[in-house]
Amino acid sequence: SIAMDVVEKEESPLLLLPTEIIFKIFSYLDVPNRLKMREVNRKLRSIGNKTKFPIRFANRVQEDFVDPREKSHYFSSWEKLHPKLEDFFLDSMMLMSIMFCVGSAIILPFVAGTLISENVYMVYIYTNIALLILSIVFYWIVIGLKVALRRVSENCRVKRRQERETIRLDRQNA
Amino acid sequence: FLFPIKMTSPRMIKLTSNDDKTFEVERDVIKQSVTVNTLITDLNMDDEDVSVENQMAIPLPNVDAATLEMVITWCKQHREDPPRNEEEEEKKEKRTDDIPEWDKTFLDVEQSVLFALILAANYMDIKGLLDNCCKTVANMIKGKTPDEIRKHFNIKNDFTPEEEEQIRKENAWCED
Repeated sequence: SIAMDVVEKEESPLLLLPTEIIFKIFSYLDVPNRLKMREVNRKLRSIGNKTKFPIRFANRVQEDFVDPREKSHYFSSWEKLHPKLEDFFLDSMMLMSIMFCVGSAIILPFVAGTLISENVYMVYIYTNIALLILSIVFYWIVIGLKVALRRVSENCRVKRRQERETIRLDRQNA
Repeated sequence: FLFPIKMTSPRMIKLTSNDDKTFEVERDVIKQSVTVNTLITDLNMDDEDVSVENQMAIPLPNVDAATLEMVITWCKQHREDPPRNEEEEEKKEKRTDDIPEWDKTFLDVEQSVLFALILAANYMDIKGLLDNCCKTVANMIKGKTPDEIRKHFNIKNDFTPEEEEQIRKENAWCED
C-alpha cells in the first residue's frame, strides 16, 4: 500500500510537460475531447481555458474550440438561425409552387377554352389533368430538394451529435 | 588509380548527453535539429579542417543518453524527408491519423519514454518528431472519458465536487 501511495503521489509526466506542448496536444483534439480534458484536472482546465483556436468557417465550428463565453454568439447565430432560414426558404418555395399550380388550374383552362372554342369541356379536362401531373412532379422535385439540402446540413452536425451521445453515455456509466 | 578521386567521408558531429555519453552523428542527419544546427553554424563547426577527434562535442544538458539515441535513430530514418515549410504546416488541417507507420511503431513505447522524447524534441527543436509525439499523445486521449484519461496518465483528480459540477455546466453547451 505504501508503494501504491508513492505511485499515486507522483506527478503525471503529462502535467510535467511545458504548457506550450500541452497546448500543442490540445490543438490535435476536437471540441468534445478538449472539453473532456478540462474535466480531468485543475492544471488542464486552466490550460484548456486559455486554449482558443480560430474559427475556420462557420459550418465546421464543432471542430474548433470555441470559448464558452463566445458559444452563444456562434451557436445561436449560425446553428440555430441556419435551419430556420432553410425552413423559411423551402416552405416559401413549396407555398409558391402550390399557389402557382392552383392559380394556373383555375385560369389556364378558361384561357385555353376561349382560344379553342370547338370543344371547351375537353380542353378544360385535358389542361387540368396536365396541370395536376405537373404540380405533382413539381411538388416532388421541391420535396427532393428539401431532403437533399437537409441531408447536407445534417451531415455537419452528425459527428458532434454522436460525440455528445458518447459523452452522455460515459457520464451515465460513471 | 589514374584519376585519383578524393573520397570524402560524411561530416560527423559529436553530441554529449546529460549523463556524459558522447554520440557521433552525421551532419546531414542532425541538421533536422534546429538547436544543434544553429550551434554548429554559430560555433563555426562546419570547418572541414578540424578532425572529428579534435572537434568539440555539443552538450545537450536536457537530454539523457537513451533518449538521445532514440532521437538520432528517428533523425536517421527521416534524413531524406523534404524540409518543412512551417507556414504551410500551420495552415494544414490538424490530423492525428497521418503518423507514418514507422513512426507509429517507433513511438509505441512507455509513457515515460514518449514524454522524454517530447521534451528532447522540444529542446532540440525537431518539429517533425515533436508533431508525431504530440499526435501520439492526442490519440491516447481521444475516445476516453475524463476518468479513463486520469487513469491512463496517472493524473490525480484535484477538483472539489462543486468545481466538477461547475465544469459540467460550462461544458453543457457542447451537449445541448
